[in-house]
Amino acid sequence: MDMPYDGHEDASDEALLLLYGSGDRAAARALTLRLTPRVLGYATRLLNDVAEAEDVAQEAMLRLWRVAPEWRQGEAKVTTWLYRVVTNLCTDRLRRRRGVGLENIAEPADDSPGVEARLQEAARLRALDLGLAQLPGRQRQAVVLRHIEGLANPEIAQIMRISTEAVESLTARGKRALAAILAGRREELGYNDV
Amino acid sequence: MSDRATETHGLDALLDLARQTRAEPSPALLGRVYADATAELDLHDPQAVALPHRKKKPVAALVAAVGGWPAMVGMATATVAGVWIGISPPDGLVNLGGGYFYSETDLYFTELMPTLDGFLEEEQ
Repeated sequence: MDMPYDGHEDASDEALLLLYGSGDRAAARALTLRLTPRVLGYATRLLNDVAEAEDVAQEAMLRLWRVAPEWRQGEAKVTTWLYRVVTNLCTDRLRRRRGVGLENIAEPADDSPGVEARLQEAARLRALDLGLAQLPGRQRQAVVLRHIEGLANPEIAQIMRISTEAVESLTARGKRALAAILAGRREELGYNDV
Repeated sequence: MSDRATETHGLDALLDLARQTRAEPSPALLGRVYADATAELDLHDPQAVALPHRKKKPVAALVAAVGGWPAMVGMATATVAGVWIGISPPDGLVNLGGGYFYSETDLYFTELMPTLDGFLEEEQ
């Protein structure tokens, strides 16, 4: 996709969204490039399915485009709003998907010439995804938002509509559970290498 | 280092790795997202999409039928002037209707030009 420099790179997400709401197509380009990777990354971690995650990412961005004309400045952070939409969309899909086993989680597509380090990296990440998939939904969301998306607890609390203390509890329990799940795969994960 | 510490350290490293290897959206996905954005803009841009034909309201239809608002203003002015003249006619205005029915003056029709036959007879 050809998206040239448009001078919007330094603008905040909210400024871009307000510009888009007033009809600025360059702002749409900048927001697409800036936010789609984040939305897709989070959805992929929650769903473990790239095609489904792409659908969720597109749907979440569509909702952002639609809310733009009525966006009230200073009321919420754009990314917080987006993460919440993605969380809800993924939760709906996971509920519909209930009963699908872990064996259905796709192998990572990596057809590039075999670089051993890269393959091992992919194996580690796949093990992590399998571990995350075994966590209860809320713990998985909290762990991904805190430790992979790198958000602060107060923002996660807004996304999940719970207290900051509840976020701390969820991430702590989630991380302990994840460590226990992955404990039997030390060799595969290369714990001894890190 | 205990097993637990090793696992925690290993998990932290694994989570760091996951953070650094974010899924990259495909050009096709970026294209779809951007296409959605521009389609939404077009929905709200009156110049981008032709407006559907709207049925005119009765008043608008009447105004259009008489030639628009300038013609309507002229007609209104003439109507007001006519009503005013009816209520309070100027002194010099003859009451033509009243004069026709109730005038004390008799009116006669006079043949100003004889018929052609009579004219010819006189010539002979």
